[in-house]
Amino acid sequence: MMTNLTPTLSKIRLFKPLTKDTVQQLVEKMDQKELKAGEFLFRSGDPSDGLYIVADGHLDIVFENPNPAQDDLVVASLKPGDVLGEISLLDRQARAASAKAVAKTTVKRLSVDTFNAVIAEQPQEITKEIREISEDMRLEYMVITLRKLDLFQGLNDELLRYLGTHVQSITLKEGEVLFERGTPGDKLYMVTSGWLEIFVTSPRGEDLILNHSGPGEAIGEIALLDNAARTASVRGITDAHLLTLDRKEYIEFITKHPVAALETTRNINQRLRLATTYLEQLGDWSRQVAEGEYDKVLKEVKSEQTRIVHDTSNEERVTQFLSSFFSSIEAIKKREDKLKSEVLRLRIQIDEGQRDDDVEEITNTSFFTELQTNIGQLRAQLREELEEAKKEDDN
Amino acid sequence: MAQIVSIHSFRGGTGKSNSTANLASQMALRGKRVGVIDTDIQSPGIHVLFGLDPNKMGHTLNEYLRGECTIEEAVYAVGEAEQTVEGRTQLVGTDLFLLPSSMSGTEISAVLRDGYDVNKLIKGLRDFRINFELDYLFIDTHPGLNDETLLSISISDVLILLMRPDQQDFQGTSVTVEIARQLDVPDMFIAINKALEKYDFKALAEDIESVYRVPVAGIMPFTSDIVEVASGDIFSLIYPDHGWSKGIISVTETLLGLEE
Repeated sequence: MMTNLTPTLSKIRLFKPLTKDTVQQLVEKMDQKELKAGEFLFRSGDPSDGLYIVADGHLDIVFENPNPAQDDLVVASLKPGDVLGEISLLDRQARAASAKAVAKTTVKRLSVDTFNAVIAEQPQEITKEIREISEDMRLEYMVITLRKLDLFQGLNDELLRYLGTHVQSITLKEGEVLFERGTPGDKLYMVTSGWLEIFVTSPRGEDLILNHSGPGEAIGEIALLDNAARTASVRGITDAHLLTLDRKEYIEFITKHPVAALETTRNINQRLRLATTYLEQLGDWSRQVAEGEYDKVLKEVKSEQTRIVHDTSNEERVTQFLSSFFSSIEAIKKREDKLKSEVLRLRIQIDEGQRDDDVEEITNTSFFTELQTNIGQLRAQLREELEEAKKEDDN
Repeated sequence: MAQIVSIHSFRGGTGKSNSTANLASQMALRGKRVGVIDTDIQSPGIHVLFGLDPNKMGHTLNEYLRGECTIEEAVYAVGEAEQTVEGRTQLVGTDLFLLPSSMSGTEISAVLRDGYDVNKLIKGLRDFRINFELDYLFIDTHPGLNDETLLSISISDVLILLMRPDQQDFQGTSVTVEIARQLDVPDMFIAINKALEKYDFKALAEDIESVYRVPVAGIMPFTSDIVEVASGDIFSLIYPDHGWSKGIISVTETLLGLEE
């Protein structure tokens, strides 16, 4: 268990202008929290309440998967001495990710209020310095966030910093629509936390889920480049945080920095590959349906319906995409089965006249008439015999 | 109890012997004392299903009818015999008794020529039932309606009409149903064998019942699987979960349902 937190806190950039005594003061005002294994310290979307230091144990930073059957995305693993959430001292943004204790864990917290109270008492030069550092940190944080996005892989810090000054931050609530299909595409979106679904609505009013977007992914880059209407609608399936970049800014950016345009091209290439994989799977499943192999396709389709697709292969994205369309084959199958049972009903026709003739032929014989007369007697005899035998048994 | 159950078909080829053997076996498996009598003396066949080698047959119904042996001497205890095949092995220890008819050519031509005393047959049935304390006596009848089958039907407590779902069987069974009604048979059921699986069985049962006003005890699908087993063994004992076996079990349970 870490007990002396002063050195750790001193190393944090934001606290560099402060005296050792002031840092000591902050340490003394920290409170402590114990976590059981599996317990969450905070969850994505929770208001940020301050900075944490791991004193003992193990804390994972995760993006929780909305589908309980799938794994969460672990982005960092923190051990004693690690600090998290310094940015929350600068602004009370909602937590981007969740923090979960992997083992029994102890954390120390410096709340935003405590920090603000202590800073307020500092001399002017120090507060000025802290403000400058804060601005730097904010930008730095933005750069770190942008660097995580696939779209900006390979951009250097200078370019990322430029972008960082031009992006806006927005939040999306669960169920809220980000944009609708057919509307003009004038913004690029980048997901920093949360999950969104990309869908189209069929003429019958059913939503067909085409894809999912999660932390680190960009949405809407295509419309941004060709300035055409959105090809699909996007909606949050959890609360989400996004960074947005206006088209104007983006075009200016890639004009000034052609190397950035390369990244976008790479992304579009990816889309093309996705399209060919899509066509392959489409062909496969269509053929199977045409041959009546409904059960096989349905089985694959059903397992795809709830899966969250993130950071996965083209094949997986495609099967997810197509599963919505192919779930309608269940209806085809039912119709076919119904038709089958309707058509194949045996027709039973009895020629009653013939039957009556045949019956008469038999009943008119002397044997039959005798039989009918004697049958009562015969049955009585049989019954008697049985009863006799039973009586004998009982004795 | 001590029910006499006749299994009857209007025409041959309905799978009557096979169905009777399976039905009797299912009953025996449920702890009942079961007797089977092969009254199709002109073309006997059920003994093969029970593992009785025609060359090794001891006394038969034929000798009994001529007064040459007692009923006990003619009866073959299936449950006490050595069984080597998968299905019949399950019959070891059960109370299943077979009264077979002779396969000998001489015997058969003698019967065809001279006939036999039907009254003696009836006496045989009665002795069989009493002496062996049977819960169920299954009569595997000769197809069609003749003196002997009429008599079997009239002394039966239950009549099971087995037919294939084809036009000739439909017509013929309608005659038997009418005759059985006139003879006042206490309980009558229809069982359908060799039904093509493309038909919906539920609809088929409904249609049969509405045409004949006789309840359907079971529907057995046409299956080539039975051809594989053929007369070598009791199919429903080997494959109890097969659709065909389920049909037989449905008939078994219908009979058991009458015990209340």
